Amino acid sequence: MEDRPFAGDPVVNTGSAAPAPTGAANGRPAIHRPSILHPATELVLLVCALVLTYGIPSPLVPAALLVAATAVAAGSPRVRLGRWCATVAVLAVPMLIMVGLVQGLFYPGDDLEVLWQWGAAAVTVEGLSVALQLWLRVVAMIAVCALFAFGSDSARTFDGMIRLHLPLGIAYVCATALSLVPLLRDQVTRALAARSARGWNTGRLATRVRLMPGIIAGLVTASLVQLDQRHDTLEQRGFGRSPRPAELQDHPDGVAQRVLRWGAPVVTVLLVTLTLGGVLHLPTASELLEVLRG
Amino acid sequence: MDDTVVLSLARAGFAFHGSETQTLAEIDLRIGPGEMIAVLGPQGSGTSTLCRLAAGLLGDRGAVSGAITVRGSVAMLGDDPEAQLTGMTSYVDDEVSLPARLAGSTRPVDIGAVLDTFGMQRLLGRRLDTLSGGERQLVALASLMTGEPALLVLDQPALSLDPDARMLLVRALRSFCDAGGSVLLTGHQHDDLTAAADRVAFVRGGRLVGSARPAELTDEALGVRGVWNTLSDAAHLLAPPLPGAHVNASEALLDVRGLSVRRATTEIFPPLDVRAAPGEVAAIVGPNGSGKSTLLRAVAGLLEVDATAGTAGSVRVGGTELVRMPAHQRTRWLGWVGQDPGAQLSAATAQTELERALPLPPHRRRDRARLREERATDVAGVLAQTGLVEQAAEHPYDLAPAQRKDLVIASALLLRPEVVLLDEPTLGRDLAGMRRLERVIRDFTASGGAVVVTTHDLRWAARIAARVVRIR
Repeated sequence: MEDRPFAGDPVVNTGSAAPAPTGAANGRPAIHRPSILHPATELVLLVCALVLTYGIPSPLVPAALLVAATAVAAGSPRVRLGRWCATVAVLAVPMLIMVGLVQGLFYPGDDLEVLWQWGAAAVTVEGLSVALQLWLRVVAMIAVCALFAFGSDSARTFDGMIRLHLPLGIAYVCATALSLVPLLRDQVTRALAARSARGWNTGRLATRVRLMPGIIAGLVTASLVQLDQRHDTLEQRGFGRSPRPAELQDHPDGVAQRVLRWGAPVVTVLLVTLTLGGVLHLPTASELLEVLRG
Repeated sequence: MDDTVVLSLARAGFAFHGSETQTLAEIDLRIGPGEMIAVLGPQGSGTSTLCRLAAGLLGDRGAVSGAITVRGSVAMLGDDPEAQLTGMTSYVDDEVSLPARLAGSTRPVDIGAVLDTFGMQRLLGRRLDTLSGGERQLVALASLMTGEPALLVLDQPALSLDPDARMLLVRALRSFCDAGGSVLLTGHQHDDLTAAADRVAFVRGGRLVGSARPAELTDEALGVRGVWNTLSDAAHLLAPPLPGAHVNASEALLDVRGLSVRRATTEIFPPLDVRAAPGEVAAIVGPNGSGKSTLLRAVAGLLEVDATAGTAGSVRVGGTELVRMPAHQRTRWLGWVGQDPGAQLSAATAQTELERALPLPPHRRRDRARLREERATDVAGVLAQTGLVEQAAEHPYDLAPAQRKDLVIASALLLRPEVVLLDEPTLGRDLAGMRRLERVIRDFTASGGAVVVTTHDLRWAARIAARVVRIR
């Protein structure tokens, strides 16, 4: 291409974009960082919730956790309720169908209280009890884990684990795993945009399914490359040079939270022990069904 | 090692595992305190490997030979803006203070002052995923500098930076050197940064082949070394519009009028007009984060699926209004090539990539074999057009970055569009890569097509474009 004088109109447009407000860019508002809990406290509460869910054989515990998680999701400035609900629904509904079919209709055993039967399929009190208990536990687990994941990021997760004196390697792996979610989401969005710019109607499910193998292959390659690069970048920032790095963000913490971090596990263990020892009795799924049947 | 040397490479070399040839050989390089040295060479000459060797990042990836001595700590910034952030933080503030925190220190870092060094104080409190490539690069550099390294190793640091940001970076690096720091710069292009170096060395085939003072460098001297020269007095690009110089709308093949993009309540750029007549190139220039890429994406219809973005205005090609069309329908007129070629690539070879890039047109089953043969012929044509025939059997990720971009340009050409939109096509190209790009653009415009490019290379924009749109 020949060098030539600058032809025509050198400048067609000028203008100045409005400056982005603090904490926002490209119109996307920044997520408010303030949180009343230290991430370590959140992690402890998460683990306690999971132990209670699986340690106490009553559907009341997961049901109560589900209600509490919904209330927190609705009130948290860092969690979008719609996204949280959609995630829980997407993961819980297939589970409900699977558990309903396997346990609800085909529960094995001889001495069963049959409510309805059609061939080999039978709705039994025992099957429904197991299905209800199992499903509620899984939903509660999904709900609290999604609540933590959506309200956190890599830095918060890392800080929580560092405060709990977990090994640096484990903290890094968990924090990296959490950073993979937005990374993969961005890559899928960009891959779909790139394909729509080549004539693929990516709005159609059939087209997406057809393109999926190629996108996944590209995704795996790009993610592996990027993770490798990120690790190098992190080493350049000094990761691993100090055995005890400081927390990456400043979080609110105080006596009340420290008491909560010690108290919650103690109370959890106590409740589970008392329940398993028969001292504390919460109604089981079959007892609740009996009550419901009158 | 004496106190006057921070980095010393004596007959240093490196060969990757499984490779029969040395990527670097017989490298003799010394950098003293306060010195800024640039090493330039064409793609594949070993500039990035030299950076990693100096930064001690090649460790278990191959065999190192010769003597490498470093006094003090080394920090390296790579060439890919996407890969320079750690992924451990979500906010600019946290990323900048990361080295101090990882070192176990909770002492407050004056993040505002650090960012101000690069003129980026406006990024304070911003989410990292909202930054442009150039902004990410500067945030990464700001973060590295808080660690106060003795030696900064920068691989193509000006790659995604606008001219103002480059000048700020020059000042920041000079201050760093004045305070006793040392800088090693590498790249394939001679720019404001390498012009500010104390000495420019050249590398070819993994060996140093000479050096010069920046003031001695001319187009010819750089051309012989395979290096692209981005420097020129481009002040005329910033002049106000010439009255009456606008092309008539009836002549325009691409006619974008009053196009604007909003995200929530923020206007990304004010209503813009972009026009290009058949056979013309239009260049879009502007600072980092001004919305150049967003403009091209809006023209290509790629923001239609983005619920957070709202567009207004008109996009016409050859008189056809495209603004209501989804992106896949606009490909009849427009071929878009994004900044990141990685998003496009998924096949095992460059040729397969092109064969699968586009859907076959609606057809009967009995016509499929014929259509595939036609596609193979088209693919052979665009491979030749973009100079990728010899790389047809290679994995796309094994290609040099500029060749990966050429592969995506080739897939856009398969669409036979009337207008091609190229987002930062010059990034990281050496002289041969620039010539290859210019040849593709020249062939396309010669056949009556129009090209719109975004670029920070004002000299190149002046060289190829009939008109320039400047976004502030």
